[in-house]
Amino acid sequence: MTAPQDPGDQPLAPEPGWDDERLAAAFAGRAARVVVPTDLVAGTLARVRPSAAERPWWGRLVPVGAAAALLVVVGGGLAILGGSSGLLGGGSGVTFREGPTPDLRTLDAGTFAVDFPIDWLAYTTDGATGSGGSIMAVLSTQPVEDRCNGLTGVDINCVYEQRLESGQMRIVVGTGAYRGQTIFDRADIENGTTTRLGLGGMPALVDEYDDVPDDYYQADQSATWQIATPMSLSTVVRLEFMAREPDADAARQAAQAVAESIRFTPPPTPLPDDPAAGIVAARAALDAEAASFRQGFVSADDTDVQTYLDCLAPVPGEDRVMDVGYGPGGDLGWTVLTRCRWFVTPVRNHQFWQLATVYEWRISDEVSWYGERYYIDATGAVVARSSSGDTPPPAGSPDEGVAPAASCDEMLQVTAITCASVLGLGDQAGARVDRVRIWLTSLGAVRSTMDPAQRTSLPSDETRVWAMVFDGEWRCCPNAVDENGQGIPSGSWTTWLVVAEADREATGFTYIQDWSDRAVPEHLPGAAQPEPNPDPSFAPTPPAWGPWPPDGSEVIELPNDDPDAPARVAVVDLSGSLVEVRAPTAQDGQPDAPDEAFLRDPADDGRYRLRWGTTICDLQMTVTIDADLSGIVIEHAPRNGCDAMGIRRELVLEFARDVDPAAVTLEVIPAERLPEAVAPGVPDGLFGLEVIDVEAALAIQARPDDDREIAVRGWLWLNRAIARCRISPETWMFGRDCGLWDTLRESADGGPEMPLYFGPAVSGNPTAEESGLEIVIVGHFDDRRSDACGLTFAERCADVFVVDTMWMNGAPVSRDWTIPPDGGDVRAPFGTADDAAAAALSVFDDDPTRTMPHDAWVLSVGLMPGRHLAELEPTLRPFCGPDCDALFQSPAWIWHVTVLDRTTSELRTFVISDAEFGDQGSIIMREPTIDEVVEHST
Amino acid sequence: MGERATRREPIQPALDRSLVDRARTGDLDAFEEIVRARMDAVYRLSFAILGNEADARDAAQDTFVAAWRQIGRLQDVGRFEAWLQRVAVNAARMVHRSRRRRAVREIPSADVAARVAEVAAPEAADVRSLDVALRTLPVEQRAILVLHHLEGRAVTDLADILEIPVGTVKSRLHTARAALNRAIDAERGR
Repeated sequence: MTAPQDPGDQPLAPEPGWDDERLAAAFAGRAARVVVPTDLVAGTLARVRPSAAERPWWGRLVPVGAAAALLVVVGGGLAILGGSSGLLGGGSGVTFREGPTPDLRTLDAGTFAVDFPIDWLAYTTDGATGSGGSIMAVLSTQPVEDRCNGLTGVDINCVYEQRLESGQMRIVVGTGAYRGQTIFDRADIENGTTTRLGLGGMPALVDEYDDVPDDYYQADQSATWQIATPMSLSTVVRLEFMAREPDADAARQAAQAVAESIRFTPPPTPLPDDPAAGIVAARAALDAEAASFRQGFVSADDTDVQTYLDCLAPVPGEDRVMDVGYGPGGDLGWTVLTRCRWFVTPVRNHQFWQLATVYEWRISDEVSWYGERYYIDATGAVVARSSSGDTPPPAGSPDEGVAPAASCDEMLQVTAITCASVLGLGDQAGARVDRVRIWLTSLGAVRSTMDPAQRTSLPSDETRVWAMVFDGEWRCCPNAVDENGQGIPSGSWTTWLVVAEADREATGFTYIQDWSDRAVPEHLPGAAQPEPNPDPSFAPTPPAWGPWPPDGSEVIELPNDDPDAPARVAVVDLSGSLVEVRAPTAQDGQPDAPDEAFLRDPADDGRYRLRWGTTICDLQMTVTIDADLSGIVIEHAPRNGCDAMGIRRELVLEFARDVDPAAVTLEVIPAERLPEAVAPGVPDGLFGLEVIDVEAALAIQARPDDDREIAVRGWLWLNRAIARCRISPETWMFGRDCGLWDTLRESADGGPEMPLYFGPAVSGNPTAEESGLEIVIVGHFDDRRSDACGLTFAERCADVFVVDTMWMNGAPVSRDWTIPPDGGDVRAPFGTADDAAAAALSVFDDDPTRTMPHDAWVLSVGLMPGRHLAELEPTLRPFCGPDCDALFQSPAWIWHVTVLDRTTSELRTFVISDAEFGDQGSIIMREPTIDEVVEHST
Repeated sequence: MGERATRREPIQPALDRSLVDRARTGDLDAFEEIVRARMDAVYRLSFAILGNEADARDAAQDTFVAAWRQIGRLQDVGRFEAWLQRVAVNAARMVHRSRRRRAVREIPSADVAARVAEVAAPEAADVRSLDVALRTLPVEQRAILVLHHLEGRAVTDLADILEIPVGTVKSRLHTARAALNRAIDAERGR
């Protein structure tokens, strides 16, 4: 057997070694021994079938007003005539039994049941089915004609032929399905009334026609209830009612009682109260969808190409802009700059979360959007999906001359401010950025050409700046000011200007201005070209900032993202008229006012509001009220650099006398940046590892599956927004607030950087104040726990450097750490950290009697209750198997030891039960067995 | 070097396009027919790439679960077969990726059978050498070799399945083949 060749193929060059024939024979021989398991089809279908309801339907929604087709396909064929009354169980699987009260009977369809008056006639059908649903039973006050009876039930086609007689009613019970829609999407009927309600704990609707649509039955009333099933919002139980006068109203009420009696087996599960559970479920659904989409549509060669699902931020409500190469229909053939976001909200009756994803993009000034909706039940299962809008065009190319935003990477890397930072500035208010024009120039050139408004400071005209004109859409503006320095109200702009000092990072932006009505020059006078190696030195002189809080001040604590680091404001009242000052509460409401203002509280004439803009990194502030109440000055303590977004701070004040806010000037002095800390000299080697720089570490990061332990020197940059996640190992890497990383930078002034994740062994180090410190970190990329990030984020997590230990302030940090017990009467551990370390090291002994030092180095020894292990080692439990269940559920102590194997540079992790050391109070020093030590090698 | 043959005909009969059409519109019955018709091929492809029963089983199931979820997006019904093979290759990659982080290594029962077969049939040694050598290659190289040498996919087909240019296919095939030869030599030299 030989390799194939297409007529159009160029022959492949012959390979040395086995020829094609021998190789093909070996392949064939290898394949011949493959026996396809006989149960594989059944097993596969067992996995496919339950997902049938959640299978995506990627068609578009029908226009509003056009009712969705409810598919109830009635099977063909004539019923076999016979004498059955249809009261026995029939082909539809429905049974009738005694009802909950003597005057009622129950129709039981297995997955749902309804009650109906005992004097009604009840018929099962012959189980007419189709892909959309089935007709299951007929409830009626009018007997079904004998000719309609079949062996297993009445023929519904025959029943439909039967007209209603005076004073009679009929309900046809069945199921149906919306193709590509949910019950929420179905439009209201146009010739009647659609009422949305909840029945049986599920969303439902009832259609009542103004005029009975078909007088064939001579019905005077007609209504149809459709009740979504817990399995899927796209499948419904359907009760089709009609009645003829007299007493049609009473029949209508009876039919409504039938609908209201519906209950499902199993019943729908209410959503948990915690909204975070919805976010977790939604994120998991998106991860699964992204992985599934990638599996189905993305070429193996395109691992670096982003799909539209990759574009969604880790958390809801957060906009992300990304070049997307795969749209909902597959490969676009090019990349489209797309703005993406998602939201989660509970829907009617709180039975489901609705996950809405929205994608927007602009091509040739035409803005388009596409959206997908997922409905997720309390178990996390996706029970329905739908899509709407237009998908990005699969062919074409960006307009000539339009510079994609991504090009800033090539330009901005030469200065202290990074491309990510500048795009963040442009996108700080949730803007969508389609295009950005960038100049590296002087502030004087920008002033003379575009005359931007002052934002936060007033550097000299010689200051080197980036001038960036963004094209896109910007709808909200929490921190923006207009030319007069006043807050910009909500609105929409298509072009805006940001000026950033090129040699200051992140917070160095000075101007931001709407440029919608201005002609943007293509060239700036005197604009310089990017310089390859600008002088990176920048060390501002710290301003005078005296002891804090000042004498006589009242300190108010304001909430911060990091609960352990609240923002505090010292209020100095020189006027002597301040009666009360406090942080606003929810009851105080949010007056409609600029972000920087002193105003009278609209809700209370006696109160005043003081607002100003700052960042979450500013934790110490002083508010000074002038003696004559003519001015208020807000100062911020100097601090390290800060990448954080701006936020608004607010105080509620009461004075002993009336104050005219218009007569009070407000001055906000932003924080000055402290010079970078100067660290003691860093070592060239640590734990037997050569200390390398960030650039060298990034080369290792780029290699697949290289999880060797390395030591890296660099400058620490802490992202304060993730402090809580970093300190508490409650989740792994991408859980909850994680996903924003601390970073290690090549130098104090920037350069290449790599994302960091701090494990619990170093969670107390560094502290927030140590951002900007030169350190050496020891850890690895490609952590085995990256898989716990989900399929979508696994690769990204694998690129994060997991810090196992570190060197700072001239010495390694402590290797020992503890997660305290949750409470209760807890005994002291039997063993010590040294015992645990010795037990782990003993594994490295070839000869237990050897006296030579171990060829391994203990990096950390942790002590914690066993039930916390799953949080720290989310991938260990499946590996460990059922034998470890007790370990993972136990409140008893366990030890978690990481050891650097110096022969392989690999990190090895050991989990040791503390009970191992508890035998009669003595320490058992022996090589642990598998029962005692669980090793999880990387 | 043996003489190159003309393209081998597909082992399996072509699928009824209407089945794919129906499956695209959500017809589970039609999709179940596709599963039955294509399970053998998908499992054999998965096994050829992954080399053991457990992983091949998982990959084959994952292939059809993913296909069911995504077939609604498939725009060109005529490309279903190539698309399904790509899904299978991707599924194999995912399964392999999830396995490689494990510290345990499974010994497929087929290995034992292969050793027994070697005694009875000397040519089985080639099969065993190929088997061992393939396991040393990255899964992407295994996939392209299997698709070409076992499935009989021509270079242009591979470009379609893997969504890479023909030139890239040739380059990768060349690299994979060279790596396989080295691995076989190493296995034979042990």
